[in-house]
Amino acid sequence: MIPDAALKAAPTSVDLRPSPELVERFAALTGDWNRLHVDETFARRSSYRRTVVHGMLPLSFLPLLAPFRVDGYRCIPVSLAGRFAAPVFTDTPLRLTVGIPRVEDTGARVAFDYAIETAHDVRPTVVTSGRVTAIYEARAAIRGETKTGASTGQAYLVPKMKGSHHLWEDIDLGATDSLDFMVTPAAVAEFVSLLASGSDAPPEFAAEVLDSFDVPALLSVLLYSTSIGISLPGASATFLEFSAQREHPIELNVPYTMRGRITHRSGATRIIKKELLVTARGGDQVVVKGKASTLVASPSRRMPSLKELGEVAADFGLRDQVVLITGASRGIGETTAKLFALHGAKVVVNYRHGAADADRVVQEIVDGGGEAVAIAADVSEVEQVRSLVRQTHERYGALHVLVNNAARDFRPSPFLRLSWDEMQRDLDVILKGAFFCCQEAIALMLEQGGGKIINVSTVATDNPPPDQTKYVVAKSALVGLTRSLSVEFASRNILVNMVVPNFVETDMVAHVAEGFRRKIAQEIPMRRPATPVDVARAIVFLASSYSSFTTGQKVMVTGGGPPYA
Amino acid sequence: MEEQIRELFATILQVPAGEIGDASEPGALQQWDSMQHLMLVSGFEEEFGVDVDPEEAIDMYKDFATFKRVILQKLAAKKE
Repeated sequence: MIPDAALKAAPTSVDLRPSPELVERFAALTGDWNRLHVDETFARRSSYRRTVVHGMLPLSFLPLLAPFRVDGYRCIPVSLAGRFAAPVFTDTPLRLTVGIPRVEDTGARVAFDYAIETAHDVRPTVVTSGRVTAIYEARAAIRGETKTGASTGQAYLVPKMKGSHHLWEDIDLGATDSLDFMVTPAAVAEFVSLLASGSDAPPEFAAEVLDSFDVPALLSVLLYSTSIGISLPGASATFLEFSAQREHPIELNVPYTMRGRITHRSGATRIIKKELLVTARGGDQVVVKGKASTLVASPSRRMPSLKELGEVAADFGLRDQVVLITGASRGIGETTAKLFALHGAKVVVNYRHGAADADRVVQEIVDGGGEAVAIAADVSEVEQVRSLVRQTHERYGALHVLVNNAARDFRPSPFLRLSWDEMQRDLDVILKGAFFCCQEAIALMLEQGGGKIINVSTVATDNPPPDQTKYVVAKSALVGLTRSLSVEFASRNILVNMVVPNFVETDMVAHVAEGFRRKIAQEIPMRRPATPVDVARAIVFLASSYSSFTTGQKVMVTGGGPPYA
Repeated sequence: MEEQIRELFATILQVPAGEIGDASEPGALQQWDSMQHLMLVSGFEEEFGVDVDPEEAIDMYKDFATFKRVILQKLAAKKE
């Protein structure tokens, strides 16, 4: 028999606000002390980033809705199902609404769809939705088992216990767990008190709940939260959906056991499904049966300690690394060689014509306590490059870092007066030289298990100045080489990157008129040209452990000039 | 079988089966978000007793035609 008052009362809603205090009380009542709900520090390290309200908590307020508070009747929820679509964070105002009732064919049961929405947004978000199916019994026919008068017994359903934290790998199909609980008058009283304090409903509504609603039946379903969040899988759980059917009444002061069993385990989604059966302790009769779906999250990642960082990441990782720099007798190459030496690297100073300059660089490094050697080679000649790399290996037994820095000049060559031979010469040094050096170095690096290549490019490939076709074309080709090699060898731990300076104060640009250099400097946001040290630092960074997951990239050394990231 | 797949798909997403067609895709079908996609894959695995690989699960998040094709392939492989 379904009272007309129940059918006419919907749709209706109740507003609630799950404060941290309410969440704690719910945890104390149900035993679901999952740290995601009550431990801010733990929750901050979860994917939610802050504490999340128990999914079942807002459902507790169903008995306050008018269709379930009918004078002269007691509403018994015979089935309850829900789907948690979005997390609810503490203190989020919510509205619980039930829709138009649908009477089932037999006329004995009525189903209400319900929805829990955020109540503070202009466009509310449905966080939970589902269906409750109820029957109604005339109150006179009930023996009044919940009206005990005194709030006796423990004021909780499940005592506080240590929660588990099962990892996905540890959860087997067929795994079982169990949860003992008992609904005492004191626990029911605490539940009613919780309803009164957490919603905008008049306090007398909550007081009526004892008579108007089968609270023990609802409480037994709320405990799904505990079975999932504390027992199996425990802390790693994200509750997705559930359904429950009441087969027989839950009696007060009777010990029950909720038995869980994993019935499905989806490796593709990391969702487990758990069958949940409530029986009287020691008995076989199932009084509530249902199931729940849960996502099993990966454990939060611990960040390295200061000590661990000191051991594995604080150092630039360049000590005793063998670094080969082409065109290192002067300019950017010279400065880079010295900076590497200051970081403890063994430096090969390659040069083509400047033997005296290269020797000077090496001597300065050695005098400073470093290790370096000058080796002549025209990088555009493959045999000379092979010899260069072979000598490097013979001398130091390895090659960890290659810096392709060699270039010819930056002298202007208007296109209509540019010969192909001139083009070819730039391509030979910048592109062919890098090609040969990379080929020889990578072969060695593959044997070693990895290495780093840094190509010195120029912002002129993005913003070409006039009369620099040969330089821009050759450097643009170097960009393509960098990108291609980075992709081809990333999986083998060979990282290939570029530094991209704009105007660097070196001998190579000494021919540029002072006025023009000043003008260039004024156009740079940092109001100065790059120095060789600026570029060397970027090169050293890309060679160091500080760029351990960077490949195929440009490090711009442009003082804020374009192109922008 | 195709109709059975469509019915289950609609049931899990809680939308009328008539709204599901081969061209239905996550962007257009509001209920088909990444979370519900996990529920779909898991639900089909359970209902049809098949195992979907993680890579396949990602491929299936394209449109209903792709989702259905993968499930039909799984069912065919299961019969063999």
